[in-house]
Amino acid sequence: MTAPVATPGQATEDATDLDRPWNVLVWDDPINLMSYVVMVFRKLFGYSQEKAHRLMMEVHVDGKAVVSSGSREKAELDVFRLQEHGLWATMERAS
Amino acid sequence: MGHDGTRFMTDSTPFRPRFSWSEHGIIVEIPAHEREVLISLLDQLREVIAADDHEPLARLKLPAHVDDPAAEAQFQELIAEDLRQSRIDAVEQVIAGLDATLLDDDGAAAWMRSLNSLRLVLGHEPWVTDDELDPSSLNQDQLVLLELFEWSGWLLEQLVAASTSVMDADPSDPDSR
Repeated sequence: MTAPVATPGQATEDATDLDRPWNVLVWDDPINLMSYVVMVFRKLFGYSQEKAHRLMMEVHVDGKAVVSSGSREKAELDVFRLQEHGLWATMERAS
Repeated sequence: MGHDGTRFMTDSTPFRPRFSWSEHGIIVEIPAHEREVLISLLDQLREVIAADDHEPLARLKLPAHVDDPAAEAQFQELIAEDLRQSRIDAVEQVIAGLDATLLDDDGAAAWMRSLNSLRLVLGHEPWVTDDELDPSSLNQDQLVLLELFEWSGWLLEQLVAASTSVMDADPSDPDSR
C-alpha cells in the first residue's frame, strides 16, 4: 500500500467538503414492508404520515431516497437508528 | 420493497387480530400454539445474531459507506457491536414479555424490530422474495420457511397498523394536530 500524496487542489477541496452536509439514504429492498418503512420514518424523524409515505414511495419507485441530512455525527446516528430497524441506510456527502 | 406480508396466505377465515389498538396500549392476543412457534423462532434468531458469522445475517449487516472502505471500517468498528447487542436486547425483551397482553411504546418497538429481523433472516435467500415464485416448485423445508416468513409478515402488518393508530392518537404527532 502506498501513502496518499496530497495535491495543491486537494486542500481546497477538503475545506469545501467540510462545509457540505451529509445525506442519509434509504435503499429499496424486497423484504421490509411498505407500512413498516412508513412507520419507521414517522417514528425516527417525526415526519407526518404524508411525508413518510412520499419518502417510502420514492425508495420503492426510484430505488433510494434521501431521508435526512446534517452533520456527519447526525448522519451516523440516523444510519445507526435506521439499520437498528432493519432498513438499508447509507450516508454520503451532499453534492 | 415488500408490498405486504401475506402473498401466499390464502385462508380467508375471519380471524381475531393478534395485535390491536386500544387507548391503553396495544392489545396482544396470540394463541398459545403460535406463542410456542414464536419462542422457538426468536430463540434461534437470538442465537444467529449472537453468533454473528452466519450467512443469514447478510440483510442485517449492511454497509453505511458504500464507496469509502476506510470510513466504512471506522463506522463498523464504532457501531457493529452496539447494533448486534441492540437486536439481541429487543429479541430478549420480546421473549421475556411474550405472555404480556398489553404493549407500551417500548414493548411494541421491540416486537416490531424483532419481527422485522426475523423476516430479514428468514428471507435472506433470494427465492423467498422472488415475485415469480411458484410455491408448488418448493420442497417441504422451503414451504415451511416460506410459511414462517409470510406469517411473521402478517403479524408485523397488524402490529404496524396498531402502532400507527397509537401514533395518530398522540397529540404530539404532526398528523394529529
